[in-house]
Amino acid sequence: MTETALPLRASQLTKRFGDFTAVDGLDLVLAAGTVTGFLGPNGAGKSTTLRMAVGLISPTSGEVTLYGQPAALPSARKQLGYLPADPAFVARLSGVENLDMLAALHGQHGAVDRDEVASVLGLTRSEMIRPVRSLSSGMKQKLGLVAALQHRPDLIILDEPANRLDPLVHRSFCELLRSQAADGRTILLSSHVLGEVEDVCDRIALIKAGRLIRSSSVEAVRAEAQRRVTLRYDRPHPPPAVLADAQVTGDVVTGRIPAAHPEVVRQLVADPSLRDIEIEPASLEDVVLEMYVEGAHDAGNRQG
Amino acid sequence: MLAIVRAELHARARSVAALAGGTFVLLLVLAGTYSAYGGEKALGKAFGSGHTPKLFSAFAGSSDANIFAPASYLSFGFTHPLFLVLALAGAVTVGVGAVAGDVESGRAELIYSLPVRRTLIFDARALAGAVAVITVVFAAVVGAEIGRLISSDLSNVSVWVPVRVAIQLLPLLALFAAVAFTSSAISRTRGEAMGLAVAAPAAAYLANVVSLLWSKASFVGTLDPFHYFQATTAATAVNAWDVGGLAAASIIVYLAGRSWIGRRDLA
Repeated sequence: MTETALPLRASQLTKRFGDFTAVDGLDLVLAAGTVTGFLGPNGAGKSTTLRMAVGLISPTSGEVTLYGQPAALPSARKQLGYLPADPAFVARLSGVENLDMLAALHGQHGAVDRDEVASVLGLTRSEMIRPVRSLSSGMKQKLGLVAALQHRPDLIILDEPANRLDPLVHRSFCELLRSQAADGRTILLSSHVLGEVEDVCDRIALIKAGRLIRSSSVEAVRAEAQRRVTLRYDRPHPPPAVLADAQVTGDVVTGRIPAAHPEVVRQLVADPSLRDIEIEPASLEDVVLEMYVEGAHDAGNRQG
Repeated sequence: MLAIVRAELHARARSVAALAGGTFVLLLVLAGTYSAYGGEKALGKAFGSGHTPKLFSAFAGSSDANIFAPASYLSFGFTHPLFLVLALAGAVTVGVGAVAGDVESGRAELIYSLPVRRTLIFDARALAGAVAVITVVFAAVVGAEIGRLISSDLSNVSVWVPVRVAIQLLPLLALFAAVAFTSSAISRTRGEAMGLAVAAPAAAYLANVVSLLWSKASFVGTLDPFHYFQATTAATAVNAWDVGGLAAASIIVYLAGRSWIGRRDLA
């Protein structure tokens, strides 16, 4: 794939606000057709990065390109669908009027997918013709999602899309994202809902203190995750040495074992007093939370 | 571009209609009651022993105009402080919200991430602002014309007097609208932009009145935009130099804001 075909490429992207460095030399590449979860604790620089990616704010140094063009150029954003963290509309206009205005400015595809997206999100026509000021925050969020997707963009950037969505709509939204991904769209999804990321994304990019500390496939992250293990013995038993964070409750011992180390499991089951062993599947949440806690200093910009 | 103009006007239709209604009624009442007050002589006696008080002339943008004369009285309505407040509100409202309002409300994130040049959005808003200002002034002209017709002492005044005064007024409003747009382009909040946009005409108006009343301050006048809007003179003929000067200043101020918006952060 040529560099110019990359939907998004950030190179040494840095943004400073006075003395505060919000984003610090961030490198990020989105290959076409990938769904990337953009993760990080509050204040990590996710929204600032996304705002640079959609041309709202300019980098202090470095650059971000969309399909090979600087994001600041309007033509670079032709294939972009963007949902800000808190989408705001012209309050006195109806949802449809707001969407019409945004679609008209997109030109080319207009509102080709509006009805379908609205239907999936459960946004009815009667809700969309009401003035935006009378809509609930959840409806505004749905309207924002329709605005981001109605023109069938190839590159979709969503900042905290699950905000204010009820669980049923959230499930529909995840299905919608999966169908968009199946159609070959490239999606960058900033979220704190790790289950959503695990469900929808095939890659994650983790940012902390303005620096990218991890960019790899979800599978690779899962593969590295320590597994939670519960051991039941036929009598009270000291925790095996191979178990991390071990806790003993009567004849039950819980703890964690490293991934991809079958010899550890063999060692555990070799104990004749073991009555039962339960190993939980690796969770993205465990790894990501661990990364949130860890310092950014030791991770560097690993690509996997 | 038209989509933004349409949306902007749609969103502001009520406030523009209210301002237009206000200027229409104000000019209608001022002109329509001229005869009821007794015309030029009665007004002159009532307010200034046969002469126009200097303060009244200063409000009309002149140092010595007899604002009670029929044509001057009709044009005086366009310098009435209440009219100026309504007309300037129409001029600055769209401008103030153009950028700072969007940034503050978060609308900027949706609008300025579209594949459209920022300056195009700015220009579209300016076009909507121009439509709003022209509507407000047009309503005033209609009010003045109807008032002129129903007031027997004004019925002989030329139909073109309100039109000429309105033409002289528009570039002044354009200048303050441009100030509002530029304030908005450099501000982060609507309040900040509104402060700048309101302070400019208020200070200019006050300075002009003072310069007309106090000879030692007369030098201020030539630097003051209101100096180039003399309604009573415009009643006779539009001063093309004044119109051109104010229009040129408007364009310069507007372009300053327009160039700034291309460089600033919008979130």
